[in-house]
Formats: sequence, structure tokens, C-alpha cells
Amino acid sequence: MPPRRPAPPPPSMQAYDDSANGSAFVPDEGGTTRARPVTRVPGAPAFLFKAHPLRWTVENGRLLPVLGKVKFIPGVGGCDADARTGKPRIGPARMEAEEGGWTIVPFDRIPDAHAAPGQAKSYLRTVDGRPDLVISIYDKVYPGSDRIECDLPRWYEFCDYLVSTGTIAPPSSHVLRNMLDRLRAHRDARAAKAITAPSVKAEVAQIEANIAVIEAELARRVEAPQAPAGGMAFNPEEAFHG
Amino acid sequence: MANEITFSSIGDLTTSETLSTTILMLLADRNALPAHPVFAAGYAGSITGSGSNVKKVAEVGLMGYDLLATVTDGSAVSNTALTDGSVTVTVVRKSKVYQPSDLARLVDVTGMVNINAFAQDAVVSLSATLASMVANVMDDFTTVVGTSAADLTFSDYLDAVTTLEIAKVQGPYFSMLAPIQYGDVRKDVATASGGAVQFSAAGQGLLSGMVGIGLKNSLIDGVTLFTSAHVPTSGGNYLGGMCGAGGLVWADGIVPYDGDPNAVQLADGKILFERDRTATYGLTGYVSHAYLGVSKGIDAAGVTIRSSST
Repeated sequence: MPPRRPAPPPPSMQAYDDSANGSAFVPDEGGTTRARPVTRVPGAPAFLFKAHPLRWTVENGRLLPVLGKVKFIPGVGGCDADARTGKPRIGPARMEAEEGGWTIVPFDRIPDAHAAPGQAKSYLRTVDGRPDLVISIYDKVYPGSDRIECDLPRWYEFCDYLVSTGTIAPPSSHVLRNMLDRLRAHRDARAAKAITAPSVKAEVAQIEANIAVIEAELARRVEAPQAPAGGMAFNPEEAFHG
Repeated sequence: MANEITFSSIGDLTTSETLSTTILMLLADRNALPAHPVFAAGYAGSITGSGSNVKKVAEVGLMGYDLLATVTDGSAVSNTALTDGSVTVTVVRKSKVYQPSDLARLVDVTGMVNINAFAQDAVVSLSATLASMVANVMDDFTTVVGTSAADLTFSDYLDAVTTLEIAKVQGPYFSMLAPIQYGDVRKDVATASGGAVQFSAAGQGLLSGMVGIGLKNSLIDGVTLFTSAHVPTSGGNYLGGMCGAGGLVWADGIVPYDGDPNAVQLADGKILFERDRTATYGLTGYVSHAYLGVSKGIDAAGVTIRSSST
């Protein structure tokens, strides 16, 4: 019986037995192919939120202000450019907005829990890789995509916070009644379409829910009897024949 | 067999790639605003030689604003107060520069790195910039139609028209929507509207009209429809708008030109296009300057159109 040959070393060791030494190699695929793409959302300047007493809406069972924006775009809405630095000078735009009945929301007027840890309180934020883009902390954008989503739960908290802190006033009853009239008309129009387009039925149900929210809010309020816009009693006999 | 000539064996006779004569333009909203009475009526003029970069546009209540009062025969008529107001529009400088090196220009085979291309770009950029500024004003009207976090419908669009009519806004109207807002209205007309709309000439025109952003087929006579990627968002909604004459005011300026051979006026003098040579670096800058400003005019002459941004 021939002598048995010694067992070969395990494969993992074999490579180091008689081949040249080396080390692990991580390929560099070059360029930006491994980089995370930036968002494709169009560029947008910084802004300040502003609220107007007439701009309210109801959404998912909540009364919400339809906030506008004072945009840091020189040449738009009264925003000027500093003659020396070229930077936006929004003083005239703020003044123009306030003269029009808007309330400017300070940029740091957010719930404490919404502030990014270790950063300044602000409802604005930048986006990595996009120095031309400033969005609110409630906007969500995605790498390689032009989709903008709103973080609705936190957005609702923010809007509630603005009202609860007195930054903006809640909607007047006449604003609610106007919304109610519009929603009822909208509900009727969509309900008629739902007869031939069943996909509209869900929308009608949502409108019904929003109507209920406004009705409940109006029912909750006890309005003092008064003339719609103040004034004195008018006696036509005295006015025309007195 | 030996010495066959294959592609891989003639590496010194080939290149890895050659430039095609076809050039793809990167995607951008390059559409110019249409010639529309809203912009003709809202043009506040040029700031050139005016002493300020701010134009004040007066508003006056004449031409039927106050009706005649009934007055007893033989008695004096009381004075009627003349109602007036004003809005302002601030004009600022808008500029950009492309600065290629001599080497980049001399090897260019596409025709894109030369003065003609940059001059054309200056003109297109001016109109696109104005469109973006208008879009950022159209969301500012205090009257809002549309449902928050819901797709825009044809009914919402009609609401906007009705709102302006109730406010005594003179037609024709101009509307600016985000492409997704327009797409939602188109889908609503195609799939969820009743026959009167769905099978009307306007409804069919909407469905068979040319696709793409910019000027669209009108949904309603007298309302020009323009889509723009510059329409802003807020709180998960796009905020487009519709207005009639008086809803927008805008102004510009003619850039001073003193006959410099390295400069030329473009677009009726609205753009000063200059060549700026930096000889020591072998660089040539192609600079364009324009002066623009846009503001909201009479608030009630416009309406913001809101719908879901997704």
C-alpha cells in the first residue's frame, strides 16, 4: 500500500502559500456613479411664510391656513436687491404684504420639537448638493426625483402651533361660512359626477367630512349679535325726509 | 489564419467615442409668456431715466366706478370722493455670464460654446426669467380656489373664472398652472366630467391638443391657459393662479448702451449682451444683463388656484 500523501492546505491558506502577497482591492468605479444623486426639484429661494385672514382651508378634518410666501427673489413682490451686496432686501416686500393684510410668520416660530438637534430654530432648510434650493422643514424631497411631499402630520402641528401661540388668528365665522358655501356647491357638483364616474365617490365622502368639520366649528362658536361690519342703525325716514 | 484586422487590433486608428451632430437640450422650462392683454395692461413702463428703480402704478376709481346719484331738482349735488390707490413694482438687475477659455472655444465642434449660442441663450433666458417671476406672484392672491391636497378639477377651474367675474374683473383672463395641475384638469375632463364637457369641442381640443408645457389649448373661451414649471408649492400644494387686467404689474429697463463694440443690445434693448475678455487668463466672458420687476396689482383681480403637489 503506497504511503498516503499529506492533505493539501485549506483553500483559504493555499493562496498565500506560493503566490505573491497583496491586499484587498476595492474598485473605484470612477466619477459620480457611486454618488447619491441630488434631488431634481426645481431651485427655489428662501422665503418667509405669511398668513391672510381670508386664506383658510379644510383638509383631512382640520382647519388650516393657506400660507403664502414672501420670497427672497429680488424684483418679485417688492423684494429689492441691496445696492452694495446684491443680496435680497425684503423690507419693502414685507411692508407691502402687511399693508395687504398679511401676517408675516417669523422663521423661528416652530414647535421646539420640530427644530433639528443642534441647529438654529427655523422652518427653512437647505438640501445637500443643492445650494439653489431652500425648502421648508415640512417638505420632503428625494435623491434623483422631482417629487415634493409634505410631512402632513408635522405640517398640521405647525399650523396648529401658529394659531395656539397667537401668531395668526383663527378663521372668522364669515370666512368659515364662505368656505362652507363653496364646499357644499363643490360637493353637489362632484356628487352629480359620481353617478357616472364611481371613482369620484371617495372624493365626495371626503368633501362631506370636511363640511362636517366646518359645521362643527361654526356650531361651537357663540357669536355676539351685531351688525356685520359695525355701524349705526339707519332710519330711511329721517335720512330722506327728515 | 493570422493577422486579421479586428476593431480591437487597430486601437491607434480609432477613438473611444466621437461627438454626434445631434445635441440634446437638458430639460428646462424655456417657454415665454404669450402676448396677452394682462401683460399689456400691467406693463408699468421702463425705469430708464425715471430717477428710481421702483415704479408706482396708480389705481383710480373713474370710468363708471361711481354711479350718478339721484339729486332733488333745484338742490346742490354733493361731492363724490375720488377713490384712488397704488401698487409698486421694484425693478432689479438680472444677469448671468458664461466664461469659456480659448481652448474650450477653439476645440468646440458642437457650436454650443460660441457667441451666437450664448446670445440666443440670453434672449430665451430673459423670457424664462420673466415667466418664473410671474409664477411667483400668481400664488399671492388672497382669494383661493381648489381643494387642498386634492387633484385640481375642471370645476375648480370654473370656480376661478366665476370668482373673477363676480369681482368685476374685465376679461380676457390669463391662467398659469403647474403641469401636474393642468394634467389633473385634463384627466378630470377626460374621465370624470359629464358629457357636456367631455364631448364638447373644448374638451376634445384639450385631449387632442399638443402635449408639453407652455401655452395650451384654452378650456374656456377668453381664458388663456399657460403651464409653467415655475409655479411654487406650499404645504403640499401647488399654487397657480388666474387673473385679468390689473392683477399683475411689471416693469423693466433699457440697459444703457454707449456704443461699445464689445456690447450689443438684444430683445429691443431689454438685454445688454457683452463680451468681456480676460486676456491674461485666455478667458472670454459672455455677459447678459436685464432689468425686471413683477408685483401683484389689484388683489381682487386675481385668484390663486391650489391643488395637491403629488
